[in-house]
Amino acid sequence: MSPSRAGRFAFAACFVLVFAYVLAEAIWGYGETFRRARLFPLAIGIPCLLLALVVLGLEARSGSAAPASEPALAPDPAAEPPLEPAVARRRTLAMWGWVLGFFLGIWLLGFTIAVPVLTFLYLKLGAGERWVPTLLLTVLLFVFFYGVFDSALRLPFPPGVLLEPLL
Amino acid sequence: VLEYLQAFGAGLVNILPPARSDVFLMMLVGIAIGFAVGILPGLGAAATIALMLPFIFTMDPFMAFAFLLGAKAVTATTGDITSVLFGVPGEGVTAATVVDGHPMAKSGEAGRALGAALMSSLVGAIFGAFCLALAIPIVRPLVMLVGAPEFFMLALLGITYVAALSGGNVLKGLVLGGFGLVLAMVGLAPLDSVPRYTLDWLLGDEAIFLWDGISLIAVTVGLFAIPEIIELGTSGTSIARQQVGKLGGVMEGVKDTFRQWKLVLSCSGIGAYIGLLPGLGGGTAQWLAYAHAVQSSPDKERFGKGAVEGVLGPGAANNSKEGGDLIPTVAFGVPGSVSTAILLGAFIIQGLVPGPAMLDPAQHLPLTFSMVWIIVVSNVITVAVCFLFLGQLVKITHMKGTYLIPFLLLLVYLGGFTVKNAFGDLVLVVLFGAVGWLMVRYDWPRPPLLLGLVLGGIAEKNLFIATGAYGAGWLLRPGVILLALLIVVGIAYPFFERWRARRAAKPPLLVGAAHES
Repeated sequence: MSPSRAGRFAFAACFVLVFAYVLAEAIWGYGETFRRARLFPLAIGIPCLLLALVVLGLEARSGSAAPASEPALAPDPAAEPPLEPAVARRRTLAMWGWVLGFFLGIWLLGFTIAVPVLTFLYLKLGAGERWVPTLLLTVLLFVFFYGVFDSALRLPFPPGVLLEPLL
Repeated sequence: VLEYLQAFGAGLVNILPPARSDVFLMMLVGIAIGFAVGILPGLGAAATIALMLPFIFTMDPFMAFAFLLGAKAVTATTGDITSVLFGVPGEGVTAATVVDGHPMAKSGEAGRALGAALMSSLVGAIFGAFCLALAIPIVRPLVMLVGAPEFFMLALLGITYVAALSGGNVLKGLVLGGFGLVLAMVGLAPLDSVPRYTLDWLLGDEAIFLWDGISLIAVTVGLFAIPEIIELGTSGTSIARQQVGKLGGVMEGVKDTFRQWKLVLSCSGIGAYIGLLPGLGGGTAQWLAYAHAVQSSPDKERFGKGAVEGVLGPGAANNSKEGGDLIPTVAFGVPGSVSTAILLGAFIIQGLVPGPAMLDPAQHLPLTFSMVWIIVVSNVITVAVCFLFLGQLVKITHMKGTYLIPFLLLLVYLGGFTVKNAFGDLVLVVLFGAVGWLMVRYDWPRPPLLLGLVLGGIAEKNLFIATGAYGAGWLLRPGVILLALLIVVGIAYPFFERWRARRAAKPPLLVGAAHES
């Protein structure tokens, strides 16, 4: 998936909006009453807004191809060939789905239930693993989580919003 | 001098068998706890020492400090392991190791990265400990050199250097440094306790969660770990994409430490000095050391892609600061960091008063020197244990990615959650995961954002003190002018380098153009 020019422009515009919001709050929001609290936001916000506008202008002028400052890896002849853009896009969306799925699972069911359930679902449905590694890894991860964080460290894990009314 | 040397020797004798087997045993227990805490993301040294404090009531001072310092001294060392292997910092102070350590693991150099991280950590820890020993008689003038205006400028200098040097685009780096500072403003303002940027108009009552500020750990794991997990899942491979000789790689990392001895020692010096300055702490030391590693390298483009110097610098600094931040704690009762602030509680529990008595050979100087030895011995033991099991640790990077993803997601969300036990931090993890993913995609360097977040509170407090004490006059202090000049040089240097490179590339092009015409 190559980054689009519009996407890069929109991302740069977000920082302009953030700094504009920082200054607006410091001038017309809390800063009107609490003048000491706005000293640092003004000192940082004004130069940063100007810098963000310059970056936005540069992004608007540049083409869609940009050299990456943090490329994942240098090209390597022994490495796997790059994925088809459509496959990469589909897999990326699926991975984001699992990242959000784990978050929602933990929020709804709590860590104690979500950890084994989502591990099992990811390995079986997301990764298409066979039954033995799926069950083995699910049990191992649950034992690790429960043994270290719940039993040994006694960290407080709330039950999750779905189960809270039942407990 | 003889009295100092005798106390120095007594400090060692008092923590080792046969004289004090009980102290040594307690140090081993502390090391085991610190080892685990360092590896598990989200559990910091400060929280651990707080949890350990109640157990020292029945111990004598040597046992108590062996127990607490043994744990504190090794968390940064083992925290590097998860930073390198999974891109998830085991500790806030090991986040900088992710930037180059994890790309090394991905390119099959996990052994080398871990070898470099562990050996530089050991060198840094020993350096910091001996700084503590040597600084005891001369510490006061060093701390007094730096006032609030210089503290503020030091924070800006750190951000500028990391922004200018950690990636290809200086302007984007500076914007992100500023964005990090803005994130640090979220919450109650330090002086007026008025909520700032807590999005009350959007979140309603839920905005109270943001009054406490934005968690550094949630931002760190989101920015660095989520994009790695997405990439791992998308590529369908293991973390390491190439097979290499694992143990050979480890020795290469150890050799790197000694090949780059100047860098390791200078970063150890940075760590010890930053540790010495109250309030800056390891979070700052690692990034300044990283910036120094980039700045002192002739080949800056390699950084962020797996440069071993990017592992050596932070590795040395985040351990050497352990000795440094004990100096103001022991000498003045001014803690250098959050964890030493909690450690100060141990002094009170043990009936000790920081200050002259801790530096007097006739009183508690042997105990002070035993702290030096505890830092050294506990790091030697930890690094030796790590090297024994490094082969097994490196194998993890060759495991199938799909086996690791649930484990990584669990660590990421636990890391975010355990700081404040709040679901709101999980939202921050996901949100900054998306931001981090977009930053990689659109070519924005991530380290300046984190440094801005770390330094924001310190910078604001010192700007306020400087303005309150001196008005605008603080801008004319010699130290401030010197630091401002360094900032200008830091910003201008990448542009100068680019201009020089373009100029060097011009003559052949002109010759080529002349031939064509």
